[in-house]
Amino acid sequence: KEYTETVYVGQEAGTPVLQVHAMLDGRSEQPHFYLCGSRRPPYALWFQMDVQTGELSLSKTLEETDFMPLLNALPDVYALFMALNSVSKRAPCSRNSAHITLDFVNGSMPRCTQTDMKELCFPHRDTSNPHIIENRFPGVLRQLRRLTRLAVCPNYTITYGVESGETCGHLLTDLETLVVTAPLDREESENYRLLLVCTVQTESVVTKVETPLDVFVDDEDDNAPYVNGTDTAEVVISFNRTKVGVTSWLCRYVGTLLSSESWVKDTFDIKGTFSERRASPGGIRESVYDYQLILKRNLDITENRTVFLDYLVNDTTYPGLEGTVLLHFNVTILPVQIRFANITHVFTLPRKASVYAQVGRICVENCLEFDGFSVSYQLEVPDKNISSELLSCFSAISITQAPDRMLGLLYVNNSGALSKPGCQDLDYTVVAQEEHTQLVATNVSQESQQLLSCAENRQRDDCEASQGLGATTGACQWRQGSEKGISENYSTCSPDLRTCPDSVCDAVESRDTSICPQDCTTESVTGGHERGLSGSGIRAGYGTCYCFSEKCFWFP
Amino acid sequence: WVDCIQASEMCSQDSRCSPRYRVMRQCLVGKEKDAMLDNNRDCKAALEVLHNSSLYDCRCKRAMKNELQCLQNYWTIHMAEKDCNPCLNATKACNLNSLCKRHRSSYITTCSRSDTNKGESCNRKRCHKTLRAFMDRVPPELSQRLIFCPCQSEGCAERRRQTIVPDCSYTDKEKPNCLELRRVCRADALCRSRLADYIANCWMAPNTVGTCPNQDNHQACLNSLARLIGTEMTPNYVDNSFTNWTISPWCNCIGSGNQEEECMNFLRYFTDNTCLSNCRSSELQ
Amino acid sequence: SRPCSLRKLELTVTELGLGFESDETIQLQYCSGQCDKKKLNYDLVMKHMVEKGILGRGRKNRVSKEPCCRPTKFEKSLGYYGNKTHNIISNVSAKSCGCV
Ligand SMILES: [Ca+2]
Ligand SMILES: [Ca+2]
Ligand SMILES: [Ca+2]
Ligand SMILES: [Ca+2]
Repeated sequence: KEYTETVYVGQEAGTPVLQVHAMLDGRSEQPHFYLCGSRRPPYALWFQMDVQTGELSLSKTLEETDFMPLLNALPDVYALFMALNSVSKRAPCSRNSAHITLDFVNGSMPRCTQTDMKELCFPHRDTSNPHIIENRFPGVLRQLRRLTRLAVCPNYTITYGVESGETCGHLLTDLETLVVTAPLDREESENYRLLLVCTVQTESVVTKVETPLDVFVDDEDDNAPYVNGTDTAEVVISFNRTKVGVTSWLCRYVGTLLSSESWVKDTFDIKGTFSERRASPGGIRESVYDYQLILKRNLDITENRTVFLDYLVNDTTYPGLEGTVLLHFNVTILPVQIRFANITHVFTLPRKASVYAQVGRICVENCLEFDGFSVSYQLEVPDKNISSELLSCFSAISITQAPDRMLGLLYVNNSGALSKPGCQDLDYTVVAQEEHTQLVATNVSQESQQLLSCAENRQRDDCEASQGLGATTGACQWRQGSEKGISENYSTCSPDLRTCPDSVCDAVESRDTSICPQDCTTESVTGGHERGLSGSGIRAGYGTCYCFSEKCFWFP
Repeated sequence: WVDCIQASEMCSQDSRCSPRYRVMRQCLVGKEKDAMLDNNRDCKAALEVLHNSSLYDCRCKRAMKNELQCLQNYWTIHMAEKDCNPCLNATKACNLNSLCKRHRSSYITTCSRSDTNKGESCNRKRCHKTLRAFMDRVPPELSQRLIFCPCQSEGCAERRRQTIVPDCSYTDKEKPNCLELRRVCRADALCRSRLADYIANCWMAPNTVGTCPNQDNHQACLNSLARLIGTEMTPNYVDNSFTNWTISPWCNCIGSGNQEEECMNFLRYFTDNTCLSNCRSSELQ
Repeated sequence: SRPCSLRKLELTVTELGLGFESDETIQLQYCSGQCDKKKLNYDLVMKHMVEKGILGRGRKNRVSKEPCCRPTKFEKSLGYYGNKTHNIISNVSAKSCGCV
């Protein structure tokens, strides 16, 4: 589809410039060749195309004066466009057109003795490689003998041959042209690497000049789609209810879900992803579609059913009858039961624990695998007719949801109740249930907090002597950093070293930034540090960290 | 290669090399050696000349005869090399220029900040914009010295690869097909013209004489390559190799179908480009 | 000595002492110099208060008796490369100084 030739001053009207060829779909076809392009440059008129043969020749003798305006305007390469099988002479260039590049040289054609053998055989700037669509009728692929040089060395005999074992006899030369002898099959070979040999015979010597040529075979949809391996995927949906297992198929093109049931249509989707693979290293490229079953909506946890999905993949451009492939997904949806693995949890808590001190965490069975729905935890309110003293004991502990809505975090809500002698053994019933609706935020107005933040302390002694918000034992705890430079293990004062600092602002900590500003601060930080990954809190720092309310500082 | 004893003998017989080698040894004596290598003209000139001598590539074999002397010769030049890190010096030059420092800090800030709004690692569009501002407004002596600094170690080449914050400006979740990337680029007026500019200034057709278009104009090629940074076609070093570096946009030719040859030809504008691969040796050192 | 003004210093990021590691050289701008010209009645009163013991001594009662030379504006954040990532430091280099 790319042709290149050089044109010189003094070439006479009627001399051939180059020959183009079209590969045919069948014996009955007859190609017609036209120069195309609606806005053709003036120099296009200097050339004519033979409608029947495809030979481009000069329509006028080229004069030096013709070249002058060109040379001032542009470098010496000009492009002419040419269309194949075009209907009208003035037709715009279609996708079927080929591209001719002509080099104008402001000088006369070199004489025979001045011409390099390589020049005589091959256009020197031509680096294009022919592409042939597979299954086309055999025929001439390319003119090898340079038409412009036919008259330069009349006493020389110039012939061409192919020297390469890889063509399997599909590509030959007939001394002047390169010929395709049989329809090519891309699925057999995508690329033929030829070595063209030009033999120049003078009266005394024989010279051989070589040039490599890659012939590419372009693909056509002449292979039916097929499934590599099994055409059935077994899918089980249980804890994870957002998306579904992957299955992969080796085949091609578009598909439809064969189901009239609206529940299936609303729930499932199938996504195909295209890729290209080689069956073996250096082998033929194959188009591969992987089909994935996708859940369009979250499933109810009580859903319990089995569905069989058929998916029809249709290769719409395949001409034969076997252009379809049927894929099967056998889907089993299991209900999820929300229950505690252990019925009884026992947590021990010092009486001195401060408000917001973390008591413990609870989680229903398999909770960490849950996806696509969430679980809420609540403390069951005791009977109304219990004593007011016991009721005040109840207020000692509260529960909150972790942000991922899978864990329940128990924490001290009322430290006053905790220290009452009557509230020794606190019994709570936790109710876990699937969360359908947003919980109404039970924002109990906090009793005025007298306690300060542990994080305000800069020194070990001060820290361990202080009480602070969220301190489990009532007293703050000191963490002594060890590493040099910016480190995750920095020195700081914390209410509970199990949860603070750990780079995560958890559900209890986020109730009040003063509990653990190291994990929860959103304000700018002074000193060498790295922010937490979510943008809040501090991941690592240099030296000791202390904070006043939300504002944190470091000293080395 | 030659061993460093042979190399130093060869140097002492060379009238150009031998006085420089003596100067270099002077430069490396005493506490002030860092400052000497950075600022002293004679030391800098000596190092430059020695770069092209066989002393620079010499090696020592373990347990060879005169191993210690060989190693001393080796380190005379390579210690100087270590202290003379062209990429670090380029950074310093940028930091000491207020315009360069401001634009560099600006793109580092934009390109390394995570974009929590969209749940993406960064805002690629804004990153590209600040990178283009850096390339357009900072004098090329400073910006290109930073991007095309010559490296003699992997650490240096990694710093060079990281210069444009590639996690944000270059790499993406998936590597697109190069023809698809070209289509996206051509749909954007700025990218389209900068790509055309790059090909016009950097691409030499095979079988042509010279290394770069326009009378071997390397600088024009580097300029147009630098101007692609901050477009969809942003090029970068593909790895931290310093001996055999390759610059390419973030794409490949998988899935090209019948256009595989076209795709490979396009990718070769970057990966197999005589003008680009000759740029460093002639323009940057 | 010189009045309060902007001074410049070349050093590496590591030498800033903030724990950041990088051998990149930066230009640090800082404020230094005398603020005598900006002394106000307030400063004289405070000096007197402290000397006469009217303001109690001790850690919690420290007062400044003189205006001091501080940055009034900072340069935009400084970006650098070190330890295999890029990083940003803000409020580290002064853009202008003043006596406060
Ligand atoms: Ca076929
Ligand atoms: Ca095919
Ligand atoms: Ca098809
Ligand atoms: Ca935490």
